[in-house]
Amino acid sequence: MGELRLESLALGYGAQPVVQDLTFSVADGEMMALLGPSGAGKTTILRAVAGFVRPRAGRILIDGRPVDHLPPERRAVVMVFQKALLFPFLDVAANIGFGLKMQGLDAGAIRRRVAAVMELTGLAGLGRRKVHEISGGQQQRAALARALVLQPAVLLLDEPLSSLDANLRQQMREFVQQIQAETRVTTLFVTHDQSEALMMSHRVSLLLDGRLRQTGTPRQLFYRPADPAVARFFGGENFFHGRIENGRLVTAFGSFRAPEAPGNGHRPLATIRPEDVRLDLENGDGAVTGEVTRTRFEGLATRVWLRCADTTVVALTPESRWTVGQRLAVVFPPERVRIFPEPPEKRRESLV
Amino acid sequence: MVSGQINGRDVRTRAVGWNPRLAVLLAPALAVMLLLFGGGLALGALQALGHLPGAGMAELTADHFTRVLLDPDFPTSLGLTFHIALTSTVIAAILSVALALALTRWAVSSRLVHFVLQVPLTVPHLVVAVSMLFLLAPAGLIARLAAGAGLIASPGEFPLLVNDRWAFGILLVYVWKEIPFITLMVLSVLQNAGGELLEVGRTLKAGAWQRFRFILLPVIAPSLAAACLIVFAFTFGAFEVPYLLGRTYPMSLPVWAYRSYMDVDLAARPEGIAIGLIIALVVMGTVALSVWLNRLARGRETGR
Repeated sequence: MGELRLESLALGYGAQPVVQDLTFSVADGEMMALLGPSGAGKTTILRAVAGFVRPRAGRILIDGRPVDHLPPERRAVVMVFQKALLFPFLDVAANIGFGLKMQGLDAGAIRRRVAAVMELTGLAGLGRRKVHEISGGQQQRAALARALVLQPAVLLLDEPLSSLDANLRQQMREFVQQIQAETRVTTLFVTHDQSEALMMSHRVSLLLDGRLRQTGTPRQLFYRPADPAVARFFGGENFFHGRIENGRLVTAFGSFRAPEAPGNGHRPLATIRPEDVRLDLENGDGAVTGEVTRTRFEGLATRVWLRCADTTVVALTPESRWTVGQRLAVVFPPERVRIFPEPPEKRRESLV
Repeated sequence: MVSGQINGRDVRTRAVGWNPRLAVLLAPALAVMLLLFGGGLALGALQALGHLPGAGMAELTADHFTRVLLDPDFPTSLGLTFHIALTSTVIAAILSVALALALTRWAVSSRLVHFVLQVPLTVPHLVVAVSMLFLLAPAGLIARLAAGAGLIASPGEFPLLVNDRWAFGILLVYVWKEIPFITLMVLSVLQNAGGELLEVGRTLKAGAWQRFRFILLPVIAPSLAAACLIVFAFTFGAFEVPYLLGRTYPMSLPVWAYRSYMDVDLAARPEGIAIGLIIALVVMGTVALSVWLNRLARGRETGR
């Protein structure tokens, strides 16, 4: 087991920088998701940790020791790739025992350790099968087993579930989570799927445009995004500017209580998640009025677009009774409104 | 009906049985194969068995095969033919694997590589053989240049590299001609799957030699074996290069077959064809042996 730490890491290909000034750590036994859209540099970071990409600057440390100078085969790190990439010329057991064979373990020890990890990963009885004789999910399990059998200090998973279909993917998410909990192997896994990151990991690091925007627990990133970009990434659709007056946020379409509000005169940006917006027929306290302009049924919920003065507000509600043209009370529960303080330079401008 | 699972889903496929439409569609290709190849082979076999009415021979007999097989020169010719085919194939295979690995590692632009490698493929063997003769003969270009540079006293001192005992000139032609073919076959496999599996190997702690032995070789083995078999079968049966660059005695089997077939004495023709059929049998036997060895090796690899 081990702790992984990246310090001021800069990565790139040719003249093209990919990641700059990246610092974060994964604690011993922790499962961290490196989340971001395609092209954000997630896989490049993973490949740098594995030793396939040389950092331009910064350090990579495992258990406090720098590993930048070590080739992949000498790092206490094993990477599981997006595709299972099992060796087609070996059977399942030989695939899983490959790394142990490379380390020179005797056949008996290899057999015992392979059997144990196959039991752990639910592959018992499939050892003699050829790679093409097992399903996609079993292939990914075999790839995971092949990595786990080496007992690495750090396990790297590069979107290992992205090639699976939706049902299998769900099963595998639970499976990987369970295996990580049992083995307590320090794990850094890359995904572009926010729900996968939120449900599988202890902590999430969000990478946008080659920069780390926020690291925290899944709840922190989801409910307490550090900035509007993070909020947008997690499905934030309602953003509105306002002015703080006596603890209330005054917007173009109404004012409401804002417990997080900074002092009077500030002009922050506020957001509320669509599922936190409440719709009602009766106009009660703290509500503003909006007219339904569009609705979309999405299975478990209905998405409703409302025009509140000149602003469009999106609500995601379990009720599907709303119709276009209806005038409704739109409620923003104060505890669900997230306020992003005005950046200092903007604040200075607005004061002038 | 065959059933199995792909990505956890049940999949059923119907085995292809007798299908008249399919037979009609395949008929033109099968007819060409059967008439031209099968017919030629049958006619050849008939002539090798002595059925040559034009030369006054009508009786079927195995005497021509027996005469060839019991000829004291046969083992020598067979050995020489094996030496030429096997040595050139092995050398070309080793150099091709090294070249393919180097090209993959240096990530050389694939279009340029393919162009450079395709050049020798387009040159006929006969042209290469004649070029080698001009280059390597005792009075050839290299001998004269060496003499001119003072490396040897006269062109006559230049080592014998054509019509020589070890068939050096013949090997050189075949190696030069076959390297591009084998390299392209191996390169396509390496470019498709080799790189990713090598990275897996590195992350699984395999060193450079282990990656070559336990990943690269098994990955390229099927293509390499197929390419080598094609090269072996071709070089074992080809006559023009040994005819031009080989010694007059002993002859390789294809040269012997050609000479017998072209002999002014028509009675020698059945022997020539018999040698041709023996060459075909040896090649088929080699293919069968290599397939068996390949299966054995795979079984060992997977522990079956």
